[in-house]
Amino acid sequence: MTNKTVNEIKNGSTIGKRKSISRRQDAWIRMKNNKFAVIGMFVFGAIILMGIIAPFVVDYEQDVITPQMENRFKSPNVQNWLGTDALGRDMFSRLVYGTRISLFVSLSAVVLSVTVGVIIGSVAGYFGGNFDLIIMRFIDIFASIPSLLLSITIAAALGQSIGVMILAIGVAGIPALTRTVRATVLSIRKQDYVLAGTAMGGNSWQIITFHLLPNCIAPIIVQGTLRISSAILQCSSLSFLGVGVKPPMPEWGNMLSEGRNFMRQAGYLTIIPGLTIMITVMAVNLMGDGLRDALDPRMKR
Amino acid sequence: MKNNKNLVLDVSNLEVEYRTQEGVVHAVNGVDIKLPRKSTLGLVGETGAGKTTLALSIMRLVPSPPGVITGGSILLDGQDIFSLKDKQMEKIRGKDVAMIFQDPMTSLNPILTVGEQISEVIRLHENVSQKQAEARVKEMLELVGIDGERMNEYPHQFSGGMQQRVMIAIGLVCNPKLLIADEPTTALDVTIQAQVLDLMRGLKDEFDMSMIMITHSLGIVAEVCDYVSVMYGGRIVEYGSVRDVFKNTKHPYTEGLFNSIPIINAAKRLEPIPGLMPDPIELPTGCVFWPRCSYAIEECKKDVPQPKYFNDTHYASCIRYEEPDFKLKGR
Repeated sequence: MTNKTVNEIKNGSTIGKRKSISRRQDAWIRMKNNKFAVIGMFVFGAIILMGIIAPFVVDYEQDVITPQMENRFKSPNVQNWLGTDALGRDMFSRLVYGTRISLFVSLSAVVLSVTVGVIIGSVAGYFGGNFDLIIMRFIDIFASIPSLLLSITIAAALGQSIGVMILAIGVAGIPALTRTVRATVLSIRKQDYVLAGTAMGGNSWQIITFHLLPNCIAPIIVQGTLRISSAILQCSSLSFLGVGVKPPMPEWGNMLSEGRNFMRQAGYLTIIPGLTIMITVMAVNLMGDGLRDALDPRMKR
Repeated sequence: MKNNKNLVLDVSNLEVEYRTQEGVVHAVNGVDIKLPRKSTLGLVGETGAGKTTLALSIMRLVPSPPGVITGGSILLDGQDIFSLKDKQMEKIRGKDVAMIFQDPMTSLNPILTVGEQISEVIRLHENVSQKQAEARVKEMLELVGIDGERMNEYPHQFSGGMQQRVMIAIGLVCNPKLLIADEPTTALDVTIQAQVLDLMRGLKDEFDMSMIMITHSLGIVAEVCDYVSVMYGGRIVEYGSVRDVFKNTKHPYTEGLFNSIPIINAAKRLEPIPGLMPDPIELPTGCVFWPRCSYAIEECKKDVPQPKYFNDTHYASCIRYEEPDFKLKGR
């Protein structure tokens, strides 16, 4: 009797054959159709590539940090594509090498804040109660300190090093990520499908990882990419203020800071690193927006 | 019926309350259910009668706080579920007892494909490879009348009826002994309702399982169920085989329910039950139905009526049957 029923239903008009594609393919197709996202992805990819191949293109000792006083303040020319700085060092080499440091620091910092934020936020949001209360008040205290001030304090207290910078910037990003994840988890943990998931035998871990976190991906990506751009800015700010990367090591921020003294004679010294920061931040933001749209199946038209 | 081995579900004297700020809501007040294997029980009653709370108690999913199970016991397949640890209960949910919810549109996770959602249940309960799980998913989808190739699609690409079929597939994938369907067709339109009910009835036979069908609709009960429990104010007021309850209605409330069904050919006005469900924070004393009952007498307000049996299974909780010649007016 069942087979008859099933066949009857199967022959009904509601069932159509359709070509189906996996979620990743689907997201990729939508990502590709978004022009701005592709541009952003391309630019950001190129910048990352630049950071990776930097040691093979320029010689750190000779090109990047050794002063060549006879070459000071040369405007961009054939030999020094982007000119030379106050100590006669090639700006292009420094910029390429600086990319490596800026990106490494800011990406690691974002990975740190996303990881911690996702763990704290999802657990606090899912379990709620006193646990949530205590954790969130703690996060509030963190958030009440201006993030740059927090970073400076951490960097100043622990000394100048790449690791400390990552920690300083990463910690400053934790409150925003935690709140985003917690808010999203709170909004969906009372949904029927979470109850249905529990009714089918899911435990807390499974519910969080299978039902809740995939729903948080879009906000996490948006918040995460926003954090990448502000981490790049923050990394530069720290170096600019002198608590970040130690000179002579180049970093976009301290290049900007060094060029500032010579803005009148050699404007390109500030414009070039400034423009690089701007382009990178914009590329990351475009990419983030595109990713968000691509990963959310509800955006499908 | 007396042999407990034959019962897939044995609920006795279950009491559940929600302790809210406004007061204690008495949602379920001493309910007994004995469900033999391979049979279907219909749970009928108005909104707020405690049907869903009862179902959630069987899954041990009453939201807590504020929900508290204050008394009684539930034996699922002979096992007392209140004595189990949370971890053990997680193993039982989905494997031994599964539940289908009212609104399929919100019961499926919108950003996961239906295939992922079905295979997740398999992976929770069985140690199978990705490939095997995928094959099972396809098989289950075909069984509920959906093309297996559509497993990589998202819930929003399905219609309501199809989504409910997916929910049924999720519920049945681990071959549970008991399936609780909480108003599975309320959110669907009538033609789809009939298809889904037909499908569920067929699958119930094929999978050799028992089913509890929670519904407002006596029509669905007549269609699918073997037994009916009529719930009112957190109590079961009448219980019996579908035939007994439909042909030989005993409780005034059940009669009221029948009189509230529009009949196309009858040149008769609807007779709604007067009044509203009692406030579950302050249930009336005695029989919960007396304020709305046209047969009520002073005695009704005194004690909670005991079940009066009319044959082996059929009972109604109404003290008026103490009077030898008491009869309902009939329909």
